[in-house]
Amino acid sequence: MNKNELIDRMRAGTLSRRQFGQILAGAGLAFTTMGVRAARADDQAIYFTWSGYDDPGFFPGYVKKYGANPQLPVFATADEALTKIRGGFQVDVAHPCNLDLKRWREADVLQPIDTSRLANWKDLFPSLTQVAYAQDSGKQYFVPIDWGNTSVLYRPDLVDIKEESWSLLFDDRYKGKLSMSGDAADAVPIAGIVNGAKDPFNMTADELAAAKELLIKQKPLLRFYWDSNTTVEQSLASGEIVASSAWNSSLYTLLDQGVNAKFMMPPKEGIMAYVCGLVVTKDAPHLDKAYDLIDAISSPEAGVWLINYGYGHSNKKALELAGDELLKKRNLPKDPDEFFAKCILQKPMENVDNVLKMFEEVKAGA
Amino acid sequence: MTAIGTAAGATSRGSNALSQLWLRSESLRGLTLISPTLVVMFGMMVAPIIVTIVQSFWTQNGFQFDRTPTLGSYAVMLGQDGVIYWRLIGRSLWMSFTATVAVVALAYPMAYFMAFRVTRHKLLWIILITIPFWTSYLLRVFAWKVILGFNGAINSGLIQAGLIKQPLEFLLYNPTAVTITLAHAWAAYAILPIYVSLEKIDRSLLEAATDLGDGPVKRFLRVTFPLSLPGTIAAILMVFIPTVGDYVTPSLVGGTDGMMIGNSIAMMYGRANNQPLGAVISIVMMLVIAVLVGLFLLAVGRRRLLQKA
Repeated sequence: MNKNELIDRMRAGTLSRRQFGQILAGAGLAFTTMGVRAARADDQAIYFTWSGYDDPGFFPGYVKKYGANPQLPVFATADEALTKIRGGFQVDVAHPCNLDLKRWREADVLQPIDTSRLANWKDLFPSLTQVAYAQDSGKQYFVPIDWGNTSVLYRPDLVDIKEESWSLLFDDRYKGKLSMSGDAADAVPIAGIVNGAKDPFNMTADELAAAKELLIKQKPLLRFYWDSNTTVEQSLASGEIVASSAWNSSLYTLLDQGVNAKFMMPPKEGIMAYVCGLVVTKDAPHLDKAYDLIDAISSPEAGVWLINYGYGHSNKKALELAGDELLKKRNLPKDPDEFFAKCILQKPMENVDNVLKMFEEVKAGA
Repeated sequence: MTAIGTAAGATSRGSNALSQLWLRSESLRGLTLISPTLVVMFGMMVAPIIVTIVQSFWTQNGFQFDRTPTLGSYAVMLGQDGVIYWRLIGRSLWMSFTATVAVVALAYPMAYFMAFRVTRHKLLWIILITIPFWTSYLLRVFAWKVILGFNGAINSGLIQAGLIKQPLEFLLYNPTAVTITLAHAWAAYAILPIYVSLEKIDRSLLEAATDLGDGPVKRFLRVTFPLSLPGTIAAILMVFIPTVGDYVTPSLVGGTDGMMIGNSIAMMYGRANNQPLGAVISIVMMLVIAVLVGLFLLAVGRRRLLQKA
């Protein structure tokens, strides 16, 4: 029975009930199998990453190979990501930073990575692959990718400062026009640095109490605690806020839009720096694709894209491919060792539970 | 052979007795009928509450639970460290209360209009009221961010009209913004029950009131309003109870001091890694709401009893 005949017979009302039933069953079967095929298209590696890092430019090789993006759930802070993964959220590859590794390793959610399966592994800077907690008894748990800074991003046309300092974020002349990261891993060390704590990542009880007091004093000055760099960029561009803690890429996003913005490089107390990278979770459902994804993100092409976005990359060849001009434009050295020597490297915090609790208390309005 | 025969007979007699019982007992039939709902209710509402109660007696160290029962988290809640949570509960209750008052004040005239003034296409009106609900809750909150924002609809409108030079900053990122957003987001939950109870009012009662000399205001106060109370009370409860624990609205439009108790419970279960304390705060919050709602119903009920007497 061809299509036209079917329609004619339906119009004429001569279609038997059994025939109609057969047609319905066929349609049902077709829909079901179509659904299966659609579901298969979704069957990509799951890459759990920072909001703002979900652009295909980060993993061109993966898109080429599979013709699709990986699945891209995003998080606002690494602690939030860890909580979700521990709560049973299934992902293949996640994107924490060196300062989170201790906690992630303790939480026992990672599996060792077989570096022989990664074509780009040999080109990565050894100083980055060997950061604290990345390796353990010959096993590798962390593939470094991006390195960058945490500093103050501000509008030089809207603030009046004599020297660049973290204290701008605590300046009551700009009440209601400042913003601060909602992530304790950034915010609490900043308070420590301003207070002159000896080690802002491992503060004594007194130093922690002083940091808390400073953050409480800062709270009424803030418009909001930010959760995503997009929020910071939008409100700096509109002039809703004049200064905020931020990461490198926000500066270039603003400059590209013609906004008069400046990133303190460095503030007088020193600039913070970090390296983030990829880990594979214990029960990764798409392990093979996960390795392809890691290889794609650590490739030189992905590196050039990342450098253009504003961050350093862990692949030596990426820095070569990017060329001196671009590196200079992005204020990046050719060697991350040179970069980290000048910065305060963000480290895993020793008393992290206390620090998190303290900062949540500040936000709750203690 | 005989043994099998007897067994079969017993079975059929047994199932006979069962079906007899089933046919005779009305409550059993009722229970069977609602059993799917009961299963869902138990699985989705009772079980989580039990888990929360059990968890509130544990302690958490980092990612590990210590399952020895202890009142430690309750002690924290009642001690010096618990003050901020009580304060947050108080603030959340106040914010929900203002939102509820705003919602009911706005919803009542709308429901009144629909019940008494609209005579044709009532269904169309009801559908119009629910249109904002066709998008997700999150989108509605974001829409308010766009309206109230620094470069938002209100600010750019006022600037274009030449009324202000600088954008107004008090519109967004404070408790008022939360109240406004909640009031809009929950409007339909208030309009519909009030509408139903107004719609049910027997029009001849209103005519009788007019015949006996009541003016429109008196008629409203003595007949319409008391008869619409069941719907209004339902609306108050339906808006007040869920908004106290709201979490996403304050985190999007609340700014640094628009936080509500829901946010700190979410933090306890998330970043702060203290699920037992989160459970205690949840339980305390449920109890506080239950007591308040109980008092409210008692007050309303007594008034209505007095009216009858």
